[in-house]
Amino acid sequence: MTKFLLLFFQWLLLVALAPSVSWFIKRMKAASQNRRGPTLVQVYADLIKLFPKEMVVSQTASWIFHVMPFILLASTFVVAALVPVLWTDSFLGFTGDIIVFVYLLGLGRFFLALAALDTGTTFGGMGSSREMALSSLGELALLLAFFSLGVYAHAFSFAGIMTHFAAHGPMEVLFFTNLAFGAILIVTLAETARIPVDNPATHLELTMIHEAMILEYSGKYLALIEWSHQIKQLVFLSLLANLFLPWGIFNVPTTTALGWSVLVYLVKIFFLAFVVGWIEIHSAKLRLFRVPDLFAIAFVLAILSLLGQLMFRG
Amino acid sequence: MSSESIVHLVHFLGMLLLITSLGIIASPLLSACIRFYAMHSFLLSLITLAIAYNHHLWHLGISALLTFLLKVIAIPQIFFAISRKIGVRKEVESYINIPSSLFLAVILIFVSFYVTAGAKTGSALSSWEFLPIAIATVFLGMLVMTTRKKAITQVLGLLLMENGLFLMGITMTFGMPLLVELGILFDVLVGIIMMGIFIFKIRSAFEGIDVDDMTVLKG
Amino acid sequence: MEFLLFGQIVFYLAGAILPFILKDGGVINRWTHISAIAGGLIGVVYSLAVLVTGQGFSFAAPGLPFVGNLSLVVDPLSAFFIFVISFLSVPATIFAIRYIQEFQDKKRIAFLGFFYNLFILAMILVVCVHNAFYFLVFWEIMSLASYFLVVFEHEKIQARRAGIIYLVMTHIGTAFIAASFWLLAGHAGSFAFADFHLQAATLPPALKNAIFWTVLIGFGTKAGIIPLHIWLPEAHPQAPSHVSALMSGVMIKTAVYALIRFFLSFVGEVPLWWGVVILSLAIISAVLGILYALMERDLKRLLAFSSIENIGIILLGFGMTLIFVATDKPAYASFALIATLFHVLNHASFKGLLFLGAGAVLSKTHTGNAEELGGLIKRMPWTAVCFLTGAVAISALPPLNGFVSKWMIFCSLLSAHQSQELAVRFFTPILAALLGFAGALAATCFVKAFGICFLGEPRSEQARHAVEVSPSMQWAMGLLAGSCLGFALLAPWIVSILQKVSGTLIEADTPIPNFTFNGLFITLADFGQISPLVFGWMLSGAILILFAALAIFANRKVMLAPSWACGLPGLTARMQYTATGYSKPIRRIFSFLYQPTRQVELEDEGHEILRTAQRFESKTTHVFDEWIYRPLAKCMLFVSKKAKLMQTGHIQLYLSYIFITLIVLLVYWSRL
Repeated sequence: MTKFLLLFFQWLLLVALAPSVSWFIKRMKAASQNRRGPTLVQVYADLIKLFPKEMVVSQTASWIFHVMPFILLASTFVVAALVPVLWTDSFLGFTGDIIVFVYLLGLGRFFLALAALDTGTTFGGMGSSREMALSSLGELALLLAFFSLGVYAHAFSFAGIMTHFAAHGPMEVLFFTNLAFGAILIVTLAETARIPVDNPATHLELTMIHEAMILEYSGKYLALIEWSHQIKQLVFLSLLANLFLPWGIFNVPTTTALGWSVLVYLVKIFFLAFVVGWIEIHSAKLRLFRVPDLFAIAFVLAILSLLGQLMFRG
Repeated sequence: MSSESIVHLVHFLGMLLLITSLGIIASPLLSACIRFYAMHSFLLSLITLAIAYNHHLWHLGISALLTFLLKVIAIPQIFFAISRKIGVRKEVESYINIPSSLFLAVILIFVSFYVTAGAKTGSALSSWEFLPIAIATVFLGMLVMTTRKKAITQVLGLLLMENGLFLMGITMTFGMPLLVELGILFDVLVGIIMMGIFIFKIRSAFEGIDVDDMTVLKG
Repeated sequence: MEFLLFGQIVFYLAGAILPFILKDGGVINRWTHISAIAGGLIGVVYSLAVLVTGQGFSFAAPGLPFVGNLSLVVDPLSAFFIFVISFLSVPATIFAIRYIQEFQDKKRIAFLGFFYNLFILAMILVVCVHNAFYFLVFWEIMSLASYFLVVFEHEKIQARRAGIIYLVMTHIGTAFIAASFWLLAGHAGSFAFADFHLQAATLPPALKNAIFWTVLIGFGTKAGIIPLHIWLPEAHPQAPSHVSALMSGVMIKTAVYALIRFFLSFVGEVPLWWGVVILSLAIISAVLGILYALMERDLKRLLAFSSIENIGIILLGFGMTLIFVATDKPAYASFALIATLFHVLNHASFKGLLFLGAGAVLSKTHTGNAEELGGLIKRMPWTAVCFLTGAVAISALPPLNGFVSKWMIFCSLLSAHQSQELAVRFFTPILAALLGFAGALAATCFVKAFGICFLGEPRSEQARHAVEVSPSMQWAMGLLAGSCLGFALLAPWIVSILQKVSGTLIEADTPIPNFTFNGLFITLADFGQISPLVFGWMLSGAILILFAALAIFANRKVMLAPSWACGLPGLTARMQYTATGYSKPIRRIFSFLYQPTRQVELEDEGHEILRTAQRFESKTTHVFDEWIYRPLAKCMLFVSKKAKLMQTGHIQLYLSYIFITLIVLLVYWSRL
């Protein structure tokens, strides 16, 4: 029973913390532009204020438009339950591995792309087509990076990989896995719609991918979609934190250990958010057809990671 | 620091070395290429220093210092100065696009690992892994030389090859005699200066340093 | 249970002969298809019985003297394939009854019924006959019957052209298959499969390799492996949609059945490089198949290319089976074989569903071109739901069946990480990543297919006036959609049955390490477990909770308004993304493969500034057609033209050919 509560707490932490990561990156970007940026309360208020609002729905839209936010948020919730946060185990850890993770995210993306086409606008088609094309390339690099980690750890579930890394010294872990880290970081930038792949703060036709797909959404549906996007971002950062910096994970269910691991987790997450923000500030958005070059780099890093596992470990 | 962790550190630096050489291939901007080369040489000097510390070979320390001064500071500055004076375009022009050159680079890295797979069992050295990395660096230097159009980037490829050979010398034989090292470095410096002079001359004669234009120089 | 098999055969034969006895088109349509449905249902029943109990049955009829008996053996493997064939044939035939109605006035309904029943019967017999000669006979009947079905609308030139390409390619394949059987029979001394199996261990290596190549080319042509695939995207779209469903869903799987039989029963020890060759061909088919599917605007051609991709996925599983057999890991080989068979079943269900959906759209809008469709979700709601289910299943998204079998194939690829061979350890993760890539592209393709055809505004008058199809067609599609969900939820049970099937082919002394399946889960330790049931519960639970929460706490008012048009007076249907435009990013990224050409013609009637008309044409090259087959065909035509010189028409020349041959033979014999 306590285990169940702990795992549920882990999931709840993830889901509730998600908007604050966006807040942190927004504050960073604002600071670099000599602005003040939103407060922490503002980011949560932005989500909550959408619920009492009336929605405007396109006449062309069908039931897919109405169903999509639920499917997207539900699949993101399930993914959040799959990812190890404070413990090597997770709520659904008994039933998941890398492939389940990637394909559950794919389910949400599939319906997101469909709902974009549902409204019959050009923006929707544009966002949908770009998103599906680029995410296919990203999935290739992501899967290969994860598989190289799995080959190293002889286990293909997150729990297995984390346990294996936690048992080895920092230098060794970093040596073998920094390439995969680079690959997954690049794909994270793409999946969370950050510069240099996509600009999350624009509504210009030339530069939108993710925003173009949800242009027609308003009110409570928009709140669901935004929240699920933030949760996805935190899930990726959690994976990066826990797979590549696997220290501070608690094994003994005492309150001090729990508190300590929450603290370490927060430090790791905000450190990675800092890295993402730093990259966002210092890069320019790539031309659409230069983004595959970025994915090529991610793919090469992943292949080298795999090669490294086999060459150096025999 | 224990010897064990220095060995791990050196391996880690070796991986970074590969990444920076890939960075030279993957960068579309000339200034980024030059910076990656500076980073590559910096890592090289760090590795030299680590091996010097581990095996107490102090002439390697002097090598490391010289490498640092020459290749991390002097040569990149010369490159930047030349590219400013000539006004060469900021972008690196090449015959094949970036993903294809990355793909070729990966294949060359495979080949270098495959070719040296037999050396693993024969060598008693703990740092056998640097042989494939060094050969890979040489191959990547060759790739840069053959696929880039501008003369300045071709010289960069040549320097990358030289870095690879230096790495091989350091890790396989723990450094050549100091005199030989000095001679090589001096050669490199003179070569760069001469390259600079020639590029000016080529440019003033042909109004451009695109080697494509030089293809008209045939019988 | 033999009488059930006979019953099935009788029903199909009746369905084939009835059209010539009855007179009225409507009556023929109804009864020939009801006969086929009955046959299909019987097939489902007895094949399930064999699968569940594990007890097969056999029957031998006296045959021709030299060739051997006509032995029909329904062992678990045959029963599985009979199940797949019968299972898909039932909804396809139910669908056909109304679908064919538009052809009823023409006299050809009789021939359609005849060839249709013959086609299904031939497929059933192909997978249970155990004699090489009769196998070839039924194989040929299957190919010919499907040929006549492909050219059903023979007034269209594309149908005739597709028929010719199909006929040529399938006969090339049959030639290679015959060669392989000849080699095997020569070694074993008879045509019976039982003798092949007995003599398997004594095959010399050179003969084995020859058999490998002939089998691969021969059955690969039927399966649609790249580069032998060129007939598939031509032939499958031309046939009537329910026939396309069967061709894509089960006919190409008969080739997979044959490959399994050959490589696991007839040849004894399998060398490692066979698995490597099959894996290479499989991944090329998977990736290239879906890349070409993305470029298609015609719904049925898109589905045909997607079948090529799925054959690639099936063969990935089979290649891993061979690799594990060659490296002596029978437990993992069994797992890979289960994954392969499961994907065969799943692909039949969702590809059949998609083709029936395409047929429904075709019958109501009379166009299969995505550029002329749109907005069908409001006009054909049930078809849309079924097509969406098929699209989600084929993109391998949880919790439907495509995900389960694809997960198993991923697992079989990744379990090779413990192998001794360095190359195997290195390339299997790369293959697995490429498989994931193909899957992501498949999702893109089906978002495009469903989104452009069903969502948004109608792009033509025909699409605007479409209506929902008749109830029987809806039932047929609904049955298959339900099976997509059903196979996912029943996955652990299906896997346990498939383990019995693979047990007959691969002797696994030890069970697969840590591979268990109970009511909820399929588990492979090291990896994880999946349970489509659990995912289904969690997803639907989360959706319901969210829905309830929003219904209580959020504003429920909704205002309808036109879509945002950037301030312009209004969006027209032409402002939407087209199917071609949707795949443009992929076309640009992979332009080295597609070699796209573009032609723009401008007309200006002498004004020089004002253009009166503009014509844009963009094509992608199908490299295999253009660079391999077209030159090959030209070469053959050239050689035939030269050979024509022999035929001058003069009797004296022909007589002199005979005389010269006689003289040469006499000289040769005299010297012996």
